[in-house]
Amino acid sequence: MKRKGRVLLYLIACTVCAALSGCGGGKEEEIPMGRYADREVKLPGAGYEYMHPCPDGGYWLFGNGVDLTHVAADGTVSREKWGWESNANIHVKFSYGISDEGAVIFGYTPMFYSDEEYEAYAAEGDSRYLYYYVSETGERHPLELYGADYRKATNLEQFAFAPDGRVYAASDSCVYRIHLESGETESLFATEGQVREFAFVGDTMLAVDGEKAYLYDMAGERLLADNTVLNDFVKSHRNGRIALTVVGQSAETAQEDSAEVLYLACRTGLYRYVWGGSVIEQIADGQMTALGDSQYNLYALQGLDDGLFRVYFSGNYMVEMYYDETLPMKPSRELAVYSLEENGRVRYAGRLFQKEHPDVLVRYETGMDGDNAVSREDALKNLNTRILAGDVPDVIILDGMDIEQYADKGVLKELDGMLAPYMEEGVLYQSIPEGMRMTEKNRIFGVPMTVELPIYLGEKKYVEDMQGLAGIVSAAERARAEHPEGPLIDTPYQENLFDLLIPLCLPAWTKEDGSLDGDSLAAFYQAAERLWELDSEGMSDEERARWQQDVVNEEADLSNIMFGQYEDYYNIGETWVALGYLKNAWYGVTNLHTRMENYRNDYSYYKKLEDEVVYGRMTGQAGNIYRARTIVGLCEQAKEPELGEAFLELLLSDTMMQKWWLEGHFDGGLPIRKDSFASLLDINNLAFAEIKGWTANDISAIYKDSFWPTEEELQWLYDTMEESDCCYRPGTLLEKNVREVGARVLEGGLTPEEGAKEVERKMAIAMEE
Amino acid sequence: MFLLPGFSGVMLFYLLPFFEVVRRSFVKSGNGAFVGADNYRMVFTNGAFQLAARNTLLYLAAGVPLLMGISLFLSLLLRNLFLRRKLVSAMLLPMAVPAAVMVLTLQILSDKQGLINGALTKISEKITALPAFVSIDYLNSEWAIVVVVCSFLWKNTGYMVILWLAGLGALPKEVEEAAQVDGANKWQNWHYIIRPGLSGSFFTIGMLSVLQIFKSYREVWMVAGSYPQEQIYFLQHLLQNWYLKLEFDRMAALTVILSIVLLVVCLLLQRRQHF
Amino acid sequence: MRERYRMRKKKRGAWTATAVCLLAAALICAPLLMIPGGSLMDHAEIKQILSPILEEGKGFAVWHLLPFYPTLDHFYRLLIESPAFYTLFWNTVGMTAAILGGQLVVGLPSAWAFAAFRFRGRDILFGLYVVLMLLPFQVMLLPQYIVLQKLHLYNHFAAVILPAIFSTFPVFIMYRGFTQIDGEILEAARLDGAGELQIFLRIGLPLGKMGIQAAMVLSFLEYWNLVEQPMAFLEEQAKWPLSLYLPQITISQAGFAFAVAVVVLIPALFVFALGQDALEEGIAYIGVKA
Repeated sequence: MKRKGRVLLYLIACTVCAALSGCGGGKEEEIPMGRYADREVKLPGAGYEYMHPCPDGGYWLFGNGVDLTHVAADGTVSREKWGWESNANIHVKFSYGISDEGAVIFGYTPMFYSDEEYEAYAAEGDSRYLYYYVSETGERHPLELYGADYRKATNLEQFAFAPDGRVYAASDSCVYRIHLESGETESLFATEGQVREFAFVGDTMLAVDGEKAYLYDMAGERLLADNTVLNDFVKSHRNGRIALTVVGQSAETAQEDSAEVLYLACRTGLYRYVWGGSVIEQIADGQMTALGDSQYNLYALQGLDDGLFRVYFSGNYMVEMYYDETLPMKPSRELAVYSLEENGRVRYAGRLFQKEHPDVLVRYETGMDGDNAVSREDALKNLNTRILAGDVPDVIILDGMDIEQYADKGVLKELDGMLAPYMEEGVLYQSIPEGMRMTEKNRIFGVPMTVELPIYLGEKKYVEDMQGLAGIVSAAERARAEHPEGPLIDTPYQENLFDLLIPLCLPAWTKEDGSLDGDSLAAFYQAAERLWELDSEGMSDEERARWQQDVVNEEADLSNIMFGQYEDYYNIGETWVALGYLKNAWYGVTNLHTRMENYRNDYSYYKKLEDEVVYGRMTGQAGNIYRARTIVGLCEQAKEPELGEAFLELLLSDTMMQKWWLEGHFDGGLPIRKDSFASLLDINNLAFAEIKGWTANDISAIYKDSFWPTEEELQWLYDTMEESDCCYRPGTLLEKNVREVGARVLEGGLTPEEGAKEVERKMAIAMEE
Repeated sequence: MFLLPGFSGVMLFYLLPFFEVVRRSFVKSGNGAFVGADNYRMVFTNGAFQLAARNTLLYLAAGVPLLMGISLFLSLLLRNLFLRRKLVSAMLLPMAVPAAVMVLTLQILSDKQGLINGALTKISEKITALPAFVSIDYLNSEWAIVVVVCSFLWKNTGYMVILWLAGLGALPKEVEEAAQVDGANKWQNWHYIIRPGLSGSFFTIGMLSVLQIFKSYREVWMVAGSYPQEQIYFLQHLLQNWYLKLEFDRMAALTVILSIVLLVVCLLLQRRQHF
Repeated sequence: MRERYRMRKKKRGAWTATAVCLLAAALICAPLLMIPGGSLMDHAEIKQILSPILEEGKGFAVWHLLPFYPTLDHFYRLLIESPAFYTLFWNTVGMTAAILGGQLVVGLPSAWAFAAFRFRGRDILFGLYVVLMLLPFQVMLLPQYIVLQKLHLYNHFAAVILPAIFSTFPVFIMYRGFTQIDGEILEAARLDGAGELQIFLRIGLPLGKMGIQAAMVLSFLEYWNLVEQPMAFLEEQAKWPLSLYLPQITISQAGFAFAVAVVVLIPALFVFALGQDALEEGIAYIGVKA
């Protein structure tokens, strides 16, 4: 018995080991070809929010503040001016329905010009939607749906015109039929959630909310039995997702008359369902098309005769999907990109990269997504597990990570070789990658894609001599002397003060040999303490609490603030001095020279800043700081090193540097590529041409008078970029410890020297480890 | 054999990984070169390790006896009580609370301006009629270890009480009753009957207390961060920080050292109890 | 006379014992009292009473057991507005049930083997089991990850369930329960010609019930709030247990966190009640001596 037991034991151990050595290898197979790709479709304008496909292949576009636009199948564009009843135009519309012929029904909330008007409206009940109907010929009239009680009823968020002209609408609990002539809202059936999509297959209406699909017989006016296939699909492609991608997904339908086939698009891809059948098959994988791009929210789908699909995303983006025989069905190679937190620029670049390399699947993973129990350390542990197990990503975004550690352990590849051509030809601002050079190994392991420059802006009398930490403190003292009441700096919470000061000082705290400079740290705490004191002098504790609450509620009156944190505040007359980071190449730069006035009124115009207003580089304890963002690194033992390099090259390309900004991500930082930077500041750049504003009286576009920087001023900017050679990277351990201890220093529990000692002690353990 | 299915699983999911850890303890993290006992040497000479080891030993020396003692005392009292079940359930509650909430409660209690300080101030005010400001930032002072031990006791007392009760329940009642009839008092009852009967339980509960001490790391980390006050910097902090720095070689060496120590202790204790 | 004196002494003793235990239980539960009250408080109230801790307010935080402005907001948000909650909840239930079941199937015989048989290396093997039980998860994270990857189990529920089933912890506890059994009974059974399996089923299981139930209750407690393994081995958020739902709590989210705690505690209380009953039975049974 014993021996048998032992033999059995060994047998099991052997099988276990065999299993571990990997399951059987794959055999060589022919690569199947053909899959859906997409290309962007240019829209005839900007600002569209809604698209309605027409059965003839054309489509309607509509949105807040834009004309109702029809694009026919052949491409001709026709617009309908909505210049009638200006009130209706500048109302904010929330729900839409467009018929194939161009009739529109929408729900909106009115705009108020005075508090009294708003009070009056709100007094009648909750501010619910009002509804309007515009026929295809342009007749319009408001709709009083729900009858007299309409103000108390739930909002109708979605409308749909059936092919036979009937109008249906959905609230978050019910689907109704709208009788246009009488305004009668006839309740048809209850739903569990908000129905967002309607489709019409013959006499049947299909309505889909977050839980299931409802089938309604329009002729017989009754709810039909559930279709389990559709229900399962809805359930698994909506609620299966948690947290991040819930908003804005939609499963739309497009109908092909003869075959009655339903196409559903969602983030995971494009699917095909033969009506009445039992199977929903996937015909396009979301990951390899725009459908899977979490940047965009799917809105509408249109199926055209030749197997083409038009997909419309909110935010004015539309693609056409076509079947390409020349592309392999599944990409054979994979590029693994990792970042701790979601980075839109990288995701966008990933999509571009995938388009350029159709045989590559870009797998972008984030360590921390969403608001859950995964902390930064946990995410890093998971990453390290993968790295130690050999599953190294190809490209890694180093924001928030300890670059030295990863470089030391040989995880990161040195980039000097790759960057050499860029540096030699002066394509990049050299100081910036140089600022990232690791002193020990004398190599560069990460390159930021964008940087932010610290700037101060204000009247000369306040900001002159504002150099260094001492300068900031003395400027604050001067200001406080003049304005004894109220908050001084726009730092309602302690961490805001650290947000402001730490980037300017952090690099100075580490000595050449890597040890901590206790004296400069103590000086930092002293300055921070003094600033906090100055700030608190003018307020009692209750006032501070109220001030904090106001900031949270965005009701803060910043007019008394001396030091606002963003130049915007300065420019709209809210603060007296602005300390901030230049984050965008256009707004930020023009705001250094142009001032907005009367921001809160209905119209605005700009004027050039007065001569007493000066601006310059903000300095602290360290030298010419720049704040690095989107630091890209390549991994040493990556599986696809050439792809990784190609990806980095894409990120460094002029296209990416400009495109991301032009897509509207204005605060992404200043590009480190000289030509991109210059072209973004080029006043002849077309992107600047279409700036629209509006007035109360008419909606004709007005152009803001931006006072463009002069040649010298632009040169100052370029020079400042060139001089920025000291890198600040957020997220280091030193910063974390300084903030923790700093909180106690500011509260008075520790003196600055004690605080510095405490930080030294904590860092000592860290260095020992 | 009864042991087989369990053992093969243990082999697969625990022993195999453990051997991998042992292997890696002889190898340099990063390039996989064999370095012999280098890692072990690095661990022993490491200042952070020495600090952490000392702290962990102190924590164990304070926490385990206290926990065992208190829970034993309570379980002796609870043995024959009518309300036993309800009381034990009440004591077990802290175990079921999610860690994040426990941390939150700890913060609220022990913060410099937290409930404990508030209560103490109120009390001292009442007693001395002077506004006394007791405001210790517990987790950042030498009191930190006290806070940690207290929260450890708080969480785990119920856990151990259940086990003691199980152990006590196994003692044959007749012997005790007979002794009582013979006139034995409580002390004699304890010394001659209960204590020997519980010797097995001592081992179990002792081991489990040690286990719970190791597991309490996550709460300490959540409340005080990766580099807390000196005296609550434990071996686990060191392990995690090494992990975050990709220094798996040192982690592995420390793990092996720890395992050997634990194994020796366990075997010694086993001999003493001799099964 | 003496009898009555002793009875009274006994009663007094019982009363003092009860008092002490009540005190202990009260002390232990006291901090927990924050939870139900807190779950009913809305953000504003929590901010107000916790403001000294949260931000730089002066004075001390106070806590009201009962809220001044009770609100079911947090529960609403948790139970109705977060569809994810139900998925995670059932994940937790499913995982815990699977783990406990598996532990019974696998760990139980192992514990019996250690207790009932003598074989070479038993002590060392058992010592190894204990050591494995004591090792913190972090050190095993990496190698277990590698093993799971090779078995293609990564990101499946099995990645958390299987290692947990084979955990040596329940073996340890159940073993204790089995060692209480008198060896003579086993010998007698063997002499009577009973097979090992029969001995196990007919004698071991009933007599060792206490240990088994203790192991189950304790395992439940451990796995109900398991955090590290799911975080490391389950990539998809849809597969996570409830314990991973709560973000790193900032005090401003306290109300919501407390609401989650209440919801998580309720099944635990349920299990305690059941477990206690079972333990009671076991204790009574042993006392009677077969």
